[in-house]
Amino acid sequence: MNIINKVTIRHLKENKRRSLVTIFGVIISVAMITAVATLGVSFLDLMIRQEITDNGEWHVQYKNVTPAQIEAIAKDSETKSRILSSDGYAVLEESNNNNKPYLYFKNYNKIGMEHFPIEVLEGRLPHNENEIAISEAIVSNAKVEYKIGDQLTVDIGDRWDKENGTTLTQTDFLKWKDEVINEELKIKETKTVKIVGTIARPSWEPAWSPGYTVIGYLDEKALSEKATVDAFVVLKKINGSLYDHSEKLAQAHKIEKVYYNTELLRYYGVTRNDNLRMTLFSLAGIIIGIIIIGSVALIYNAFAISVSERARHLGMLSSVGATKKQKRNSVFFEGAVIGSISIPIGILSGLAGIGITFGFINKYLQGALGVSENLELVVTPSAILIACGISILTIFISTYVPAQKASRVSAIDAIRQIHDIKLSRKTVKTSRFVRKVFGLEAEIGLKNVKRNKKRYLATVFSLVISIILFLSVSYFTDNLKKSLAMSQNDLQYDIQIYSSQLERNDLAEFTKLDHVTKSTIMKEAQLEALIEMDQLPAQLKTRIKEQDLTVEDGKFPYFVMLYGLDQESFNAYAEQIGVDAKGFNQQDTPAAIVIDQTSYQDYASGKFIESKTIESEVGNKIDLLTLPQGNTENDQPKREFLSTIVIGALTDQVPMGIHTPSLGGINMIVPEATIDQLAIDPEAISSFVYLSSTDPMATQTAIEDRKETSVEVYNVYQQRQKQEQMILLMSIFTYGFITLISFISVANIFNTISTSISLRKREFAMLRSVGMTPKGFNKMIQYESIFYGAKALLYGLPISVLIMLGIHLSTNHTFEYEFSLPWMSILFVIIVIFLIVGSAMLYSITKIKNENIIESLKQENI
Amino acid sequence: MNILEVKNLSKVYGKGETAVKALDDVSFSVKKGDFVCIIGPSGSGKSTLLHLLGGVDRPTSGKVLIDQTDIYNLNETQLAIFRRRQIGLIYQFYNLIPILTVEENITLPMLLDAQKVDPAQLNRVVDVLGLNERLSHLPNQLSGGQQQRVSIGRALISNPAIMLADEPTGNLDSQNSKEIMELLKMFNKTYNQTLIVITHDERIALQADRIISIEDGKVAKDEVIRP
Repeated sequence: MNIINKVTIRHLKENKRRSLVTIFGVIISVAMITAVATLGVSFLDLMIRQEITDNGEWHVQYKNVTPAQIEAIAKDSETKSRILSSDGYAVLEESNNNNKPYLYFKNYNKIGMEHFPIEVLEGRLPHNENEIAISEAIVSNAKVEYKIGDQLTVDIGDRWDKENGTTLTQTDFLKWKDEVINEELKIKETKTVKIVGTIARPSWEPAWSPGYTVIGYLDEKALSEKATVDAFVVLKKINGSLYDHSEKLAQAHKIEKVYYNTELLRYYGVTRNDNLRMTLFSLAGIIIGIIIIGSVALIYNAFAISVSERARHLGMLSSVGATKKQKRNSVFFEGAVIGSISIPIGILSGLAGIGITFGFINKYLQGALGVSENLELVVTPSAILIACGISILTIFISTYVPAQKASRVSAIDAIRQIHDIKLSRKTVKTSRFVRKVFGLEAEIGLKNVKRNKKRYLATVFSLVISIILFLSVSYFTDNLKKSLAMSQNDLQYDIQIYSSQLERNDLAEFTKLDHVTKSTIMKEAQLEALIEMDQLPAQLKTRIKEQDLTVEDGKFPYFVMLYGLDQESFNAYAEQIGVDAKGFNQQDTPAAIVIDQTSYQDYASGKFIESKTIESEVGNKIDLLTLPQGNTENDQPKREFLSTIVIGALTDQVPMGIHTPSLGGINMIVPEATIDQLAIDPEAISSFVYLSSTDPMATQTAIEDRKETSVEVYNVYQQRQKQEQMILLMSIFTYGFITLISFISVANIFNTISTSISLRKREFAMLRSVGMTPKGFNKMIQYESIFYGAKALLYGLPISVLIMLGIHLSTNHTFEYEFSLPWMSILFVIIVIFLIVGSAMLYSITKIKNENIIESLKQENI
Repeated sequence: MNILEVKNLSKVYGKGETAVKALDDVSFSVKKGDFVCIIGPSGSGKSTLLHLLGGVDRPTSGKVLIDQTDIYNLNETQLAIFRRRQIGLIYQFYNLIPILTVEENITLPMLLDAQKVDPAQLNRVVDVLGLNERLSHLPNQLSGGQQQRVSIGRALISNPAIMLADEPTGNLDSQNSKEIMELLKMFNKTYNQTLIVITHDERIALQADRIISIEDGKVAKDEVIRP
């Protein structure tokens, strides 16, 4: 190895502390980049596997296709495998569950059975069209004692809604009218089948569906020419062009309906909702950019310090005959040394760190959220290569400028030991004010901060980066949380029970079931109101203009949902929003709590929007009108006056079970008694019970056991799980990220400050020898750290705000709401910055303080 | 009256086998207004002695009394304050604060004391040192000789009890050296400023009133050459 490189290595070894801190910082940076890439890949992989486990693997669905069309689909270049399915209902005579009187036949071809999540409990799956496997719920829930080997003769057909004349699917409730089932089966075929196995209740079967799943076999060869089945396609390649391709295929073969498994495709990054994709990419780009900038700041600083320390050596080398290139390369060499140590360790620790995090998360996830699949560490060579490449590039960029500087160090500069080049009065000028108010020590502290503009800038820069990183990332996190909440319609209950006929007391029985923690009984009436134009929110006024909607006499017809809560729930709700419930029990003019804030998805633009529902005040009156029955298309709507209500309170919080309306709608909450008072047609009132439960599945079984007719049960517990899962994972991810980024920044600041202080050892000794007391000395250092911190915040905060605006605008593609500053985070940042700077200084000072003045004066910084 | 009394002063560096006795039981006194030179070869302990006299190091044993005050009985803060007011230190390598102007460097001891600088006093010192034109300049804009003058100014400004100079001309050319020594002597004579100079240069030593020779940490000779 040539002599210059030897000197470089020796220098690194001698400044062990600084070299180690730099290596530490680079390791963290590399680890983070690796972790980000790996996490992203692994997470998507988990989502894909989970989705496949839950709902089967398929990408495109062609509904009602003939054998000829099936042939075409099979031959298509993109088709990897083709699943066929058909379905039908048969009556389950002996069913003990009045809400589930059917057997739902789901027939798959062989491949289909492999691709859809079916868990065989006993026996096996059917191999021909005369065999079936039944859901164990038939035995456990319907209490029908079917066994393996039993033979059944069934009439299979489609469910037909007599009133509306439409076919019903597994997601439609059983239709009741006056305690009698109001639907019929249109029989397609009659079959005799033998039971060959039992399966667990499939996860795709909704809890409220009226039929128990039975798996049947679809023999594709036995399909008649005119028969129609559904075809599901598993694609070979999943990319953005699949939509066009499928649609072309459908058009070419006259297939009417094409559906996509958007849930699954989303995780491959191919969603139709382009806005969402753009949002994801912009956010990801910003985050990775930030990591790189933070790392560059650290590495640049470390090398700048190294070069200035080695100035004397470099100068001597120059005087002995080293060329510019050799000097420059010595810095690159130093970079290579640090890189070769840090990058492998960084990648390994990044993988290890993320792997350990997965292990930790998995236990938690499985226990709390019931996710069946594990997060697996997916290490793709491309992710590692990208991490490597980015790190090398980062190191190179960071060392470029110091390398150029090194090449220009001449012999004279080094020998003369001019540390602070080009100091001028202007540079260190401070106002008299500082000395008068803060004292001489503070003035010296301030001058210290100003003296070496470049190094000072570098330190401030890295502080600024830390500030920006922290604020941006935490704003991003909060943003995501909010966006998720907005897009997934906050559901606060586990189970919703709907009945159009049950008496209130019967409904109350449900609230007493085991495991139920919270319940609300709610009556809901749909009414109308005419609202003055000046009380409309801006978005509504715009829409009226754009769509030329009818305005009657300067008033716009609003769709009013009037909700009556049971008294206990109403009181709790009133307390929650800070209003006295008693004020709403008055007799003469009923008062209502009005929800004045809503978030909804505008279907035209695909955006999620937050808006006010009405611009009004407490005390204003609204006239409630009844919605006319019958055909409103032709006649002028004949509304009848019902009652005046007065706005008792305005709030943005909704009680359990209520969804916020779209523009042009408004929700009002009153106590039950009020609804009873108003003479609303009982037919127009629907009753709901909302339950929160510690064990929603058990509660549902309990409800079904009651065998109430005309009761429909929604179990939304599963839906909410997914949402919470997302948010939890995201929080772990982002807070881990923030912590690690902080380490990089702290390493950087520490390096800079401790070096800058050790370079000034002599001055400090001088000051002490002239008679600066220890207290005065401390004061000087404190002020210096305060000035550093203040300057960093002065730059950091405004830039962070700008970036936050940027993030806000980028998510504005999909989610639209007002911009607000996160004050708590800002305060936190201010405190932490001063803590960091202060401790770095204190640490460095403590090392110096105890040294002998004389030793310092004589010493040189080697 | 003895402005400085040194009693059995010893300084040992290191421990056990590697112990080095830099100063071994040194005792002497100096009267106010004296100009003393402490001479000795390299490694004789003279710098150590000066630093102990200046209160910037701690002795292993012994006492140093400046103007009747036992300086090593003071705590660190008291000592620092004492140094400000009563001791003026001049070094070979000037050791000015690079970010303070000439004026600020000179008045530094008083500024630290939060004392108001007497403009007349300042002007007098600056005049004598010939630094009138340079008051608002920074040290890096001055020549070596000028910088040394600034440190003399700083050492003098608060009329300290004793002024200690460690090889003050070591870094200067012969012309500047001569000028600096003249200045120091002038202050000593005119203002009765007690002056102790450390040097290895005999020519400098011969300009003093009294020469103390140090060898191997002990006082070898103590001569008064100008009574």
